[in-house]
Amino acid sequence: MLPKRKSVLPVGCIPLLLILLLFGCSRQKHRESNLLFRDWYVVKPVANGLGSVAYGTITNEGISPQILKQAAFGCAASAELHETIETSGRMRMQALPAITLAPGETAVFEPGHKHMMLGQLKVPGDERCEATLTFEAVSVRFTVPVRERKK
Amino acid sequence: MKRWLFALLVFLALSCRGEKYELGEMPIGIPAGTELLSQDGKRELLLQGGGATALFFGFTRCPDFCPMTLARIDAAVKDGKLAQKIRLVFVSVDTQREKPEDLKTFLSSFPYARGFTGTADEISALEKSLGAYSKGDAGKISHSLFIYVLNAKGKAVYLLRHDDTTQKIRAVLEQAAS
Repeated sequence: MLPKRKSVLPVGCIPLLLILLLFGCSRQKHRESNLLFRDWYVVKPVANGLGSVAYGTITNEGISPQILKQAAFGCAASAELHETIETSGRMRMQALPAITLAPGETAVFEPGHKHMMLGQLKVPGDERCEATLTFEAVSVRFTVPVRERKK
Repeated sequence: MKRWLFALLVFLALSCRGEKYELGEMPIGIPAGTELLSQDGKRELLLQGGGATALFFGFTRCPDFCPMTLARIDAAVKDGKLAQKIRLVFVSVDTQREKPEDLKTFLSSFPYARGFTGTADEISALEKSLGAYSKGDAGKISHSLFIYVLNAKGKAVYLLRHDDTTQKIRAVLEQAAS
């Protein structure tokens, strides 16, 4: 009779691992041309036609630098790369002409920092919006959800 | 065993106790009788109801910082009865373009908030009384990042930052409202 093998993982960890796996898989991502786009979403504006913002991350998985030059969102009249900066107790926004990503680097677009400023947003019926991000060497298109701001 | 249980109870009691912040009147505040143009298009007093007020400068075309800060205040205020005890005053520094109806739409999700704007001189005077300052026009406006917590007299008793945790914002506003 073979000796009973001891499990490497405690049985109690299995549900936790399943939850982690589920959440890990549900993270929205798009991979194209050695670029990984994660967790992109457009913040639903308080009213149709007003400005809003889009957040997410871009990782350069290639071996050469990537330069993000422009963005367009199908649900907005305009899109600009912006950054919120704190100086002497004040906040100001500045437009970024381009964002350079070194190999392996991730650009994080998040509240209070880098963001895509969207003008005159109209929320589509399916609450999904097509994003086109134009890099120096490639243009990438993917769909992002439109949803309430994370608090 | 009993000692362990006692130590555990003491630990739990201490960790459940909310953090206390030092609130006190500062030499900055809103002069009594300060009025601005409200979101309803009428001249209104900024301080009303005799309670605590959280005042925040911004503008409705600000897509990132202002909604983010409002969302953070909202997260702090929504749980519990704080929304009934505190008044949030949003003052637009975009004196060139801001309209009362824009303020009304912008703040529609925050029933405890009231939007105001005014002439450049009025906003500048208000900012000066709070040690604040804004600059620029259109999309390049820069403005104070603080949330000014005011007592019933209009005196600032605490300055919250936009990046303070929800827990801290809630605790300070609770203290100010009590």
